[in-house]
Amino acid sequence: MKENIYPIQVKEITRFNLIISIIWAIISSAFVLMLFLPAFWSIKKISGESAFASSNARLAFVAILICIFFASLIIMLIKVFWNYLFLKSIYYSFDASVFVFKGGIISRFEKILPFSKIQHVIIYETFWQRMLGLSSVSIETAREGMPSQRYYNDFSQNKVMHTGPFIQHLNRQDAIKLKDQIISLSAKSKPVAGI
Amino acid sequence: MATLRETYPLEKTKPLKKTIGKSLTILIIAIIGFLWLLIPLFSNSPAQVTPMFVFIIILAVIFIPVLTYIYQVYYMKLYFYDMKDKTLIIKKGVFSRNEITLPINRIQDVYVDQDILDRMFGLYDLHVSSATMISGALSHIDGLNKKNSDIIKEMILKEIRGKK
Repeated sequence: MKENIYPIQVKEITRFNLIISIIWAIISSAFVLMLFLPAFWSIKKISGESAFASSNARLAFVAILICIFFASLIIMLIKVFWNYLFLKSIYYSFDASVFVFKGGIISRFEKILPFSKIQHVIIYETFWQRMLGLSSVSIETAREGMPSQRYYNDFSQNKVMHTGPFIQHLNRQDAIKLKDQIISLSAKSKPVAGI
Repeated sequence: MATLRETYPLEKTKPLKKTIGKSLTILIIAIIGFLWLLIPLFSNSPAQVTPMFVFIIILAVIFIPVLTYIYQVYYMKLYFYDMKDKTLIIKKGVFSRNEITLPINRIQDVYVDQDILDRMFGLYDLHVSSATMISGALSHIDGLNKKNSDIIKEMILKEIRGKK
């Protein structure tokens, strides 16, 4: 079995997530700025003196904004890094009879799926994935979705419960080729017990 | 060879039906908001309230339904379904696109239904599902007329029977 026959575009999606993280950090700081500014203006109205008159007040305000910016950025970067590690850990392969899907950072999972049990294949393309030319392939089985079956999601992915292997961020053409291969192998396998 | 979408297309009234369905909720909220704003009308001067009335009416009655209709027209344009190589393919979405590919030998049931607005516009929704929960949500073709829905239903059932 060949590993990750169609590679996951880890670098591309990580780059995108990094840009989004910086934008979110800026938005968070701007939001706090909008919340605090009216308070500072009201100090001027009450005391007759601008709240920014003293250099200490100005320094304190700038320091708060910088802290909020970096705090948001750090939280987002941790999320991006975690997602990067998760995508790097993903391994999938298949032969004529089974599909193997493994991964995980601290908790590891391994799914072995006979083709006779595959119900259908869904290709997901969120708005951002379409911009980047990426797609995700979800292989669905008859199993009810449990919370443990939900995989990590980044900024670009719909939060959908997946009962089977969920291979994120492939090139669009690769996703179509993978889907066609899975469907052709699955169609050759007879369903068991009518499912 | 023509696709199923080209041979048995969706009805042109589908975007209008969807717009009415989705706009009804907004209209109800706008009416409640309108009535709620009427209460201070007797204590405040009308000049303070009028711009808010106009804004809510424009937003609820004109702007949102127009945008919804434009979206639904594009949704219908990009709606794709076909049956080939013993599989049923349904692809939909404007901003986020989802494509479901169902092998015919995995289909559990086929049914056709109509909600109240479908009945008013003479539209039918064809549903197929496999043994998964998500197939019920994604694998349906909505906005067909009676003739096309019956033909597609029979085509799918013929393929299923042919597998036995």
